[in-house]
Amino acid sequence: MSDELVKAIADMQEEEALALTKKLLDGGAEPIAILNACRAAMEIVGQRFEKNEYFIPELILAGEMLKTISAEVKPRLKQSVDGKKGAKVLLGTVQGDIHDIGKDIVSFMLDVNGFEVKDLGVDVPVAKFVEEIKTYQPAVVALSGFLTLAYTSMKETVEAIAAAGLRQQVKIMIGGGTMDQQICAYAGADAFGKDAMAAVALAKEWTGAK
Amino acid sequence: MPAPTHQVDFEPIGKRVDVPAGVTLLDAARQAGIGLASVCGGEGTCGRCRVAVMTGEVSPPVDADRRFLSQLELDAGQRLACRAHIHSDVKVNVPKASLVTDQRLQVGGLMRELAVEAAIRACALEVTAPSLRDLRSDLDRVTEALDTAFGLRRVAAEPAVVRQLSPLARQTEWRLTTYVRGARGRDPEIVGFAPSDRRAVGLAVDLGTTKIAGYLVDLESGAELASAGLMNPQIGYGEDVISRLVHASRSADGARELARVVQEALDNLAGSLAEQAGVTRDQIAEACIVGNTAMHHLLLGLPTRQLAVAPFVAAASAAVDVRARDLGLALAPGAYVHVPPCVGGFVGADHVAMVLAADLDRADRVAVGVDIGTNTEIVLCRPGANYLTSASCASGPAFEGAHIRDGMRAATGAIEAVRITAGGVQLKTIGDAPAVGICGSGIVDAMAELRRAGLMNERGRLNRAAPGVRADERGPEFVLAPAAQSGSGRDVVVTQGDVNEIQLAKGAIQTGIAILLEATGTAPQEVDEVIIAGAFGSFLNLDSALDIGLLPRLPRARYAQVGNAAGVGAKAILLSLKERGRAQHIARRTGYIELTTFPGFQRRFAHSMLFPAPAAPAVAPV
Repeated sequence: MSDELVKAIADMQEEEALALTKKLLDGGAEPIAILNACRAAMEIVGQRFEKNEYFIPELILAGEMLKTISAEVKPRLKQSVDGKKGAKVLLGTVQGDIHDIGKDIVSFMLDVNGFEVKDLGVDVPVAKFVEEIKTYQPAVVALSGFLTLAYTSMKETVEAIAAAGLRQQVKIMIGGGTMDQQICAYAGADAFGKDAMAAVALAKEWTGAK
Repeated sequence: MPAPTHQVDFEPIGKRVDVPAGVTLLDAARQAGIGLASVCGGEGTCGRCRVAVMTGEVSPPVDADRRFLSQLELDAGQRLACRAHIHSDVKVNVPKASLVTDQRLQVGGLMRELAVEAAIRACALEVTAPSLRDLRSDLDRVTEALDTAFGLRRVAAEPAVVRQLSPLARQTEWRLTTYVRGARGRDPEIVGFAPSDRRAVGLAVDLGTTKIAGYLVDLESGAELASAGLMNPQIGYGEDVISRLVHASRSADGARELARVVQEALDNLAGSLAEQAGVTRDQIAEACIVGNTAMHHLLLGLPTRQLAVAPFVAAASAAVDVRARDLGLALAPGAYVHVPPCVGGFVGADHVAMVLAADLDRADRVAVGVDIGTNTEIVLCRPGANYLTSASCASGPAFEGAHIRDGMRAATGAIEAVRITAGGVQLKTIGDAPAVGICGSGIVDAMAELRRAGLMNERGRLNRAAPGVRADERGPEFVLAPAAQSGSGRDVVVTQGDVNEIQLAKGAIQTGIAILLEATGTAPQEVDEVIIAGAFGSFLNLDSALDIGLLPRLPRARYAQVGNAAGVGAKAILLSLKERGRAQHIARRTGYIELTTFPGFQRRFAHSMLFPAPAAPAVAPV
């Protein structure tokens, strides 16, 4: 039945996906199995997006579905696998930019892959990242942005982290519609990820998570 | 040693330009004043600036070229002008589709009766000539004559105006018309002189992101003497406002360049309008320019960085009078340009002008005004409450033909209407010429028809299995006009990417309208009137626009397509101080909603990108 859930999400059948989730949970399914289905479905959505079979509406709809489903699943998850969270990731859309479609998907995918994610939202001031690194102590910082002006904000954020003497204790990744290796180098980040899967792979590589 | 230069020869235009080695073909085109399309501002991401290198050497193709051009096209010398650096003298062919000129520009609009009460008063004077017994200065004798004949006290005049006075007074034997600004106010000022029979005229401009519409009017009668439209030359630096703001905020040179090109265009416009109307430039005693906040900032040279990023604030939004000459406009020597106030975000004076022209601030009905453009402004007015709420959508230039594979503006050979039946595809092109591309009204028609014919699903995916749809490595596409019938020798198609662009554009506008309705507690059926302004809106097939969900499904009779209302409003503000005051009032009491931070924006936007089921009833239940 969780195959059906994968298919429903991947095919954008929102009502069906939610009904299936409820049915599975009521039937005693493991919450983690539902999240795994979400993860599998998102991989399919990602592939279809990559092949231009899907476009932004599908990404947003999928993101919204994930939010609803995880809201349903999360309370039960806490009880079953409490305290088994992995490395910490600090995430946000950089100053001056308000795009969050991709960031939300990355946040979800990191979360279901066992990372503890703190999402600072959009238009996050440079100083906010620095302050949060000090208190939250993440292993990974993920900077998201879509506008060309975000390049500068990313650079400023990385520089501020370095100036605060925190650069050595975090790995920094950047991502968002127009980001590439060149911008990564410009911003002084450690890597860029072209999609949510890549972000998860990088975070795993950096933290030694499986 | 100076850097070597190379000559670039642009054909079939026949323009040649010498440029330093290593600059791009796009830079060379800009320098040559050729309106080469560049949506992304030369970032290599839009694929619109394709040209064919016929002779000479340029840098080898890069990834960006391969993204937009097939191997066959690359072999034939086709390149993106923004990615090709010049390494020798070159000869380049610029295809028509890559040019931004030669299109239908809507400048007309409905104008209601208006009591003219201009800022300028033309005062005809007969001044006593100087003599040995009357040694007053030239200016003193004029100001004293103004006092005697018109009761105007302490009229000021700048040196620039005096420079015009002394020779002209002697030429006309002291029979002069004096253009006095603020004659009814506290600080009257002479802005120019003319021979006694010359009336004062005014220049009104709707400065759009893509198009500029200009009008010359008689400041006494209000009669329109001439009108003209042209492309905003800033397009060469990016078709949407954000890329231009980014260009301007990167360096002081960038900002100066953007200001300069638009100022030059406005000055040329003033010249050609004057010629068309049979008046001289120095009869233009006052101007009024309206534009969205970005156009306003770029024209006035205001800082733009804070406008390009959240929370998108203007550097200044109040109405301002600046000397025309400070904007590079050669009008009457002391003439002012009145720039009406902006509302907030990107909602600028053009929107204020539209509200004013459509009387939306006085409406006794629930009305929505939509000015569809590269930036689409929407206003909602609720009766009684005296309340106006506006929003601005980043709809992008897709409806103006940009970002669309075979997109073009409304010029000869552009497909403007599409019908898909069992028998095949029927097209109507502008000028009934063979199809070379598709313009905004055509692409909206195409979307509605593809959906109706079942060739495209709700999410806008083209059905690869459907007849007429073919797919290559770039995805599926639908052929509107095969190469054999087209005017370009290439298939004219609608690609999946085109559908995506239209989804973004229509989704932005649809979301904007929906959020405005919700934020003001208005049910769609309550809307008594929808006013569609702007050039694209004038030619838009309303049925198709309703079918794709771009506009709310209301009875057709509630829609009015009013043409360039912003231009009409600019004329009214130019002609009447009362209207000028009204514009201030509108700007002050118009609420502004930032759409992207409105709760649920994302979800609405996603849903607005969907295409409704085609079987929907023709009208909503009333």
